Amino acid sequence: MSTLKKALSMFVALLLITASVPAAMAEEPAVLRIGLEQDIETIDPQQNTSAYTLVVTEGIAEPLLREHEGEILPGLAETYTTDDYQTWTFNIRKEACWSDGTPITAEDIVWSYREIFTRAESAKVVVLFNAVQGYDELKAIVDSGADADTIRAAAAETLAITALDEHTIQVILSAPSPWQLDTFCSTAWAPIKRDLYEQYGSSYGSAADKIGTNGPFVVSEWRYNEQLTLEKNPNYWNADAITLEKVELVIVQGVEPRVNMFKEGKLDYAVASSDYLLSMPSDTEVLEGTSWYFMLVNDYRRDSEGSLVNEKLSRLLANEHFSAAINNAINRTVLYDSVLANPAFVATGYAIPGAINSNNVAHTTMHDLRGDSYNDVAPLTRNSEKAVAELEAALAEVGYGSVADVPEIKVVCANTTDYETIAEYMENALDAALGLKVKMDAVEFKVRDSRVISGDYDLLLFGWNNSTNDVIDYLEPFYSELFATGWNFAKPGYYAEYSAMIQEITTTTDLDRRAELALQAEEILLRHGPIVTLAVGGRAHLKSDNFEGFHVRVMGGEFDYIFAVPVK
Amino acid sequence: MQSENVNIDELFRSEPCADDEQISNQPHISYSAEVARRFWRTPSVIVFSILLALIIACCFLVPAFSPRPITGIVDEAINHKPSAEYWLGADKFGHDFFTKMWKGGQTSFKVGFVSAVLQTLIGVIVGAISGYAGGKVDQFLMRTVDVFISIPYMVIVLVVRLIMGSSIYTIIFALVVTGWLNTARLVRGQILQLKTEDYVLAAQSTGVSTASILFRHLIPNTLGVVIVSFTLAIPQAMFSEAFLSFIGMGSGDVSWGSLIRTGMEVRFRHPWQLIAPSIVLALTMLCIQLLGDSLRDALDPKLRK
Amino acid sequence: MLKYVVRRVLIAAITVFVLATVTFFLLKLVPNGLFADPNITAEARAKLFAHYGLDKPVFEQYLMYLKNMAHLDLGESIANPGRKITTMILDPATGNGLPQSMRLGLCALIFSVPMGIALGTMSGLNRGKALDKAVIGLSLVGISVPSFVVATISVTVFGNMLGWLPTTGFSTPKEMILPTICLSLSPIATIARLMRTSLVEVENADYIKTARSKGLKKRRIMLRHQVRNALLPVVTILGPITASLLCGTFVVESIFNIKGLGGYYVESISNRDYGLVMGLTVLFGTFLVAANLVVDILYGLIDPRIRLKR
Repeated sequence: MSTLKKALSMFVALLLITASVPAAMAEEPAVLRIGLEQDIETIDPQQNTSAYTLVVTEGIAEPLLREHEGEILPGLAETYTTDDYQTWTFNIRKEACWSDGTPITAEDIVWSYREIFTRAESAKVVVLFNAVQGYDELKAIVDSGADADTIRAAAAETLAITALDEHTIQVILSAPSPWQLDTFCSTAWAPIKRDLYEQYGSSYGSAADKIGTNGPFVVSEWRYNEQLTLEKNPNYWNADAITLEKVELVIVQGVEPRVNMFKEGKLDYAVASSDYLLSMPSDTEVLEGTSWYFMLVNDYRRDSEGSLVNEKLSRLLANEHFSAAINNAINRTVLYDSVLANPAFVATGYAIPGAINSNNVAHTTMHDLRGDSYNDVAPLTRNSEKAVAELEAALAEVGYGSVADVPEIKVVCANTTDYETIAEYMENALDAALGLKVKMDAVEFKVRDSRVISGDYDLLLFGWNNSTNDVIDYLEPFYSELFATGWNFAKPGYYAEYSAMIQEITTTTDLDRRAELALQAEEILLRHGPIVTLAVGGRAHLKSDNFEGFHVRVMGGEFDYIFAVPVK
Repeated sequence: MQSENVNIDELFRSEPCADDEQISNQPHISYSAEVARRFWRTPSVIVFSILLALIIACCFLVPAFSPRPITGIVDEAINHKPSAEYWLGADKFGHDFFTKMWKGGQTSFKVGFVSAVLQTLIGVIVGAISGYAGGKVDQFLMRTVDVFISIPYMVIVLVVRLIMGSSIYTIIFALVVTGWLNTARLVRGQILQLKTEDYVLAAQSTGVSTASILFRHLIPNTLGVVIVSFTLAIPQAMFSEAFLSFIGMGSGDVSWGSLIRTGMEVRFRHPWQLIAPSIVLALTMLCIQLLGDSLRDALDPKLRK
Repeated sequence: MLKYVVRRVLIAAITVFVLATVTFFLLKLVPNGLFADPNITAEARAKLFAHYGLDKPVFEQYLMYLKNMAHLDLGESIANPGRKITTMILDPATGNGLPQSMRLGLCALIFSVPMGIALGTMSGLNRGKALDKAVIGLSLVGISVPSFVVATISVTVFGNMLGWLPTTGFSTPKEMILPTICLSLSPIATIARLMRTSLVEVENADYIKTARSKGLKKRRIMLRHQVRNALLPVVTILGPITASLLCGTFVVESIFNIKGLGGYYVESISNRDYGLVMGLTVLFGTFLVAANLVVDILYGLIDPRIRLKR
């Protein structure tokens, strides 16, 4: 019996121990709690490009300029001047400083911009400097495997970013480009703190105390995989405009717990899935964010060595009638209304309707420009007869006797619920309308990306987030010369014409001409290129009514919370 | 392979077995008939057998004969509520959920049965060789088993999945790789005991070949243990398959696990899409485990009182 | 006895070493999409490979890995640049990772073991009565319903519909209830069933008959002899149960948003975060080996026949 008692008391003691571990934070009204879907990998502005990590860097790092609700606001630069959109002069504010009070000079900023080229871990971000004069030469030196000192020297020499005096920076672009304003707003154009960077090297930005901050907030605590806490930066130049005292970015990977935490009042904002959305009380406000999906038909299949595979199936995939058949075999309205059941709109174009021709000068969206003009390419509803006719044309041209002779086609996608659902829809819809056997191949993101690069797929479901809101970001990836290794979607038929257009878009200063070109380029992609546009999906954002001035964005960091105001 | 050709009745009659006493009381009944008699003695066994047979029949017959399609897109039935036509409603593709649920069962049973057969086979062979050969071979094989047993099964599944891609074969392969270990240990233990028995020693001294001793004398006598571990392996494999599908690491085919996964997301609008596959999965597990228990009791009457 | 223990510990150590080796080479088989990004050039990728030492010959990498492992240094995470893997697995500042998983596992363990033994005992001593049938029913549910179904349904019923219990987190006692119960159901069922079976077996053992014939009180026989001896087989499965409770909390952790190790399982492999995968594997493997070792030694202590056989 005594052993039993002992065991019992031990049991109670253990329960007490486990129960006394720190409890959840107490209620504080001025704390904004945002649920993030993924762990934050790094908060170094020179390393991250994902929509999740940008949420953090946009709060802690101040670039030259800042974008808020489509407007360009001053940032580190108090003002800027440009006469020809090629030479830009930024007047850095005199009071600019790090959160610890150390001043930020023009020299520091320029040093940052040059240093990014020496960092292997910044390879994804450095692209945001590609419009600057001297970028290509510098990139060639970087790619040749030069050491850091050589790159620094070369950057000082070739990269056309210079500090004219202690508070003036001049940036010369390789061609006039009014739409670079978006880029100046991206956090890649925020400086990194030199002393800390020199101390920590590549692990700069991997912990709360290994990062220099000059933005509206500082990182007060970072509990990996759990929560990152931001607190107001009293030394921020625009501190008066910031009402929030504290922001908690809570990492909750699953939709299920995210919605439950929102319901239990542990989160103010959370991304839900459409099915959860429908179970929400009706008074909960739903914000419409945007994500967009398209499918790529591999018109340029290569083997593992990278040489073109020209077997029958490859020729079928590259056939324009085949794309047309798929385009007409899917019912975009059903896909979005019922299958994904998102608050969404159907995409008939490729670039999202809200994509802006040029952010700063004129708010012309792609939707304004094109209306529903692609309906004959990518109709809203299924057109079975046309789909079958197109498929037959494709089969005849390639030499297949009937659709039964076509081998099983693999549709590669990332293994997330949305992609898998669309892939499942494709399996069913293409079988029903065309008798085409399609099989989903859901893989991890990394595997998917490497298969994209090696061209190892038949069909590919895709979607992406850009760091700026400019339509060129949608079109550029299909113009392979701008991109270092991947995305060689090009095939000779339309590529020459397309490349010429993209080149003109990146150099012209005529906004009307640019819009016209963007529209034409998009149409080429849709008609002749590898894209089957699917839809622009909404994301169900659950929003408590405790805060105002909180926005959800398509580009860059998903949440724009900097100027949020608690509602009393 | 040879063991499959051996007539179980003959073997058990000719060799001494754990149940001598009972058999001598009923000299005309073979061991397997005796096992069968004991197995069917309990009324609950009959009930659960019928239930399991019904579930299996539904899994393979309902999808084959259902008039409502579960491929393609049925526009008019999308997200249909349960009705006389769609008993459990229809999902977002307009597929009849009742039919789809049984289709999902096919995957579960295929994975469960095939991987149980394979892992038992491998386990028996490795265990027998290890136990009979003894010495260095035994040491090596058992240490290998020890190592494999301590690799978390999720790691193996994920690695296999990355190498082989996602398909039903991947799942089966991964389950077999992790599943044969226990059978091997059990069979080895049995063989270790059996090989000191007189009849084995006699066979050895008269020059009967090793393979013959293994397959004709030793392995058949471990059949009780093998059947028990086989009946445990089936539900375990089905469980694992459901679990993997639930966390999105499944085969990509519709299965109970994947249905429960989507059911969980839509449970507020379509509760049956969560409840129905959960119940069927649980019932199947229940039946198989109970029948396995009864079979074990029937095989080893000493446990039963 | 000492010799037996030393031998078992030695074997366990070798097992862990071989496990580490097998995992290392197993992961080298995985097609790696490391740093696969269209914006990263081959040169930049090469630099990153060099940074993580992945450009060296495989055998050299293996030696480095063993050396670091011996120092309990698992290197830097690939997916989370600059983050130490040892900190990810065991974060002393936040108590996330291993400590959190262990808390959850421990709660389930200290709930399920006494519960399972108690239920099994009650059932075994009252065979055929209503109580026995109830326990059998409960244990059948426990072994037939997967934990992810239990978790989903209990979240829906007790959290979403009734609102009695919080459905996320694991810090307040109230938050601990649902995850603990979801995780405990299956071990309770297993233990209860085993306890019941072994009680039945023990009841007919000679020493119990002897004790009875000596006229000892039934209650005394029950507690001193029957239950005690029936506990033996239960002890053997405590090893695997402990290991699976401490490591196998994946679904429960993800549904209840508990920041244990579970989430790293899948994530680390799909991120090709080699260091983390190997760290986790070796950690879990060590747990499993250690749990079995403890059981082996305990069993050797309890039942001298075992160690004599060796």
